[in-house]
Amino acid sequence: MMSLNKTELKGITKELLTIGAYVALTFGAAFLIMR
Amino acid sequence: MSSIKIKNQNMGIISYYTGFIILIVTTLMIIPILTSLLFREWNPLLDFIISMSISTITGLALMLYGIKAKKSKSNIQWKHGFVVASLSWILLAVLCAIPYRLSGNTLSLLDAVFDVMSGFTTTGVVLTQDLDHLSNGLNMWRHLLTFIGGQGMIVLALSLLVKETGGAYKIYAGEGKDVELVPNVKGTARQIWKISMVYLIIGTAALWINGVIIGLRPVSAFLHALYIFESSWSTGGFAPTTQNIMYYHSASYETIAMVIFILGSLNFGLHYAIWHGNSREIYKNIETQSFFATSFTASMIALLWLSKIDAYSDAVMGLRRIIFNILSAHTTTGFGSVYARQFALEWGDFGIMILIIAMLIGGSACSTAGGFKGLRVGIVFKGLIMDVKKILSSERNMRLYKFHHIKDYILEDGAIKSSAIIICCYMFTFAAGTMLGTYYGYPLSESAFESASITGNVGLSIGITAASMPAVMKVYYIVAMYLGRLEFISAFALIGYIFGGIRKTCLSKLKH
Repeated sequence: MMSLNKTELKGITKELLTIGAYVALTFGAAFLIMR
Repeated sequence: MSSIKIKNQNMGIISYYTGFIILIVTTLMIIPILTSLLFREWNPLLDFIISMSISTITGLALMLYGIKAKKSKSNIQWKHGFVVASLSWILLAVLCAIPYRLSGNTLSLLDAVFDVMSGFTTTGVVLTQDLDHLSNGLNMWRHLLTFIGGQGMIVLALSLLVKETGGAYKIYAGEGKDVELVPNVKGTARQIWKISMVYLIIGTAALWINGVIIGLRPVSAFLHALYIFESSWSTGGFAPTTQNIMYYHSASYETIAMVIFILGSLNFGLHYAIWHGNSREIYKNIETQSFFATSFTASMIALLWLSKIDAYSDAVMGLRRIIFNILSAHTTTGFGSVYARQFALEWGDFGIMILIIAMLIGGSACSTAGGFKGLRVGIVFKGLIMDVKKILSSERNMRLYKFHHIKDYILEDGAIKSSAIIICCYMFTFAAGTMLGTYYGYPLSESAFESASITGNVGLSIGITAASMPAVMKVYYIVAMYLGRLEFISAFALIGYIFGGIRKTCLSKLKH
């Protein structure tokens, strides 16, 4: 049940990167406004 | 005679599956029992043994009552599925509250049921007293409940079915979930648990390492990491300390939690699609488009407003608090990086309004999040555009309008109508909660804030939710959390089923 194949690992990495990028973008935009 | 037989058959099916779900969920009390043993907490150990015995007997009794109906291989109908889902949530809220009450950390059974419903529905408001000195066993149970509630108790029970049961989908749908990841429900339930367990390992490890870096002892850091992951992923908002996420004083800890709760607020269908090679789905999906647009806009407007009123003198600290709280509200998590009263005293009416809107919209359908969901906002918004376009175009122009959610769907009036009905139900529950708050003397904006937080299963509090609040408000909040989580329909089905039964009984008695 818990084994992961290559496609799944890629998917998890992409998900984490996308959400991480969204958080970074929100902070970046907020920083520009605050300046 | 035959109507009595059918009635018994219906009761039997409902009783059997309700008992089965109760048995599976309450078996999980083994985990806090082991935790209590490990930390040599003898009183909590006894509380959990008593609670598990009562729950097991209840579950088995219900199963035994319905075993005949189950053996007769009667089909599970939609009404059975919806009633099983809604009834098992109510019974479990009472049974799982027993250890809370026995621990002495709640002032009444009503407070204990309130906290369990808050956990199950991933709301996160708390009436438990002396949170900083809870036993490890009870803390484990609180966070476990919110973790299971996020995925769904029925999803858990169905994933443990030995063989596929005909009509299981109807029970699954009764819990407010409608996405089938694989062609059978048992497989879908297992996939949901697989996604959650993989992130449990990744998220807990990340928070654990961060916890050790910021100075927590390894064992304590592990427990905190596990609890905060369970709350974040389930968009719950429970934490092991009264200071909630502020306890850690760490921007990196907050950022990891933020990534986890955004992931938790996404549709399980979306996770499954991305994990299976369809990575572009995250940009194309109507729900994520809606979430990214509304959460980003809400963050920026809140930031402009709070800069205007000079709420925070330290710009970086202000930015961190504003974005964290807006995203926590929008994903319906309810972790707060400011104290409850600071919302009322520092954010102003406009800031509170933004939080209310974000809390009501919520996360994605078929996720751990609450609110009326990005999917419905997207559908109603597209429906509005479709209607305007239809008015402006020639009458002969027959154009099909579509939206993308895992696959392409034609935007039909039926989908718009059902989305609008659910949004109306949420708004009515929110309005009634606001009125009740004002009736008991709380200010309008604070009543509205608390009501939005409860209805949307968020958990941020402005200070109204406390053990001292009127019992009527506690009961209303329990009902609102329950309705919001089950998305109304199955709860209405249970009410309809009970009233239908009473009506039939009265009519047959009048006839005789």
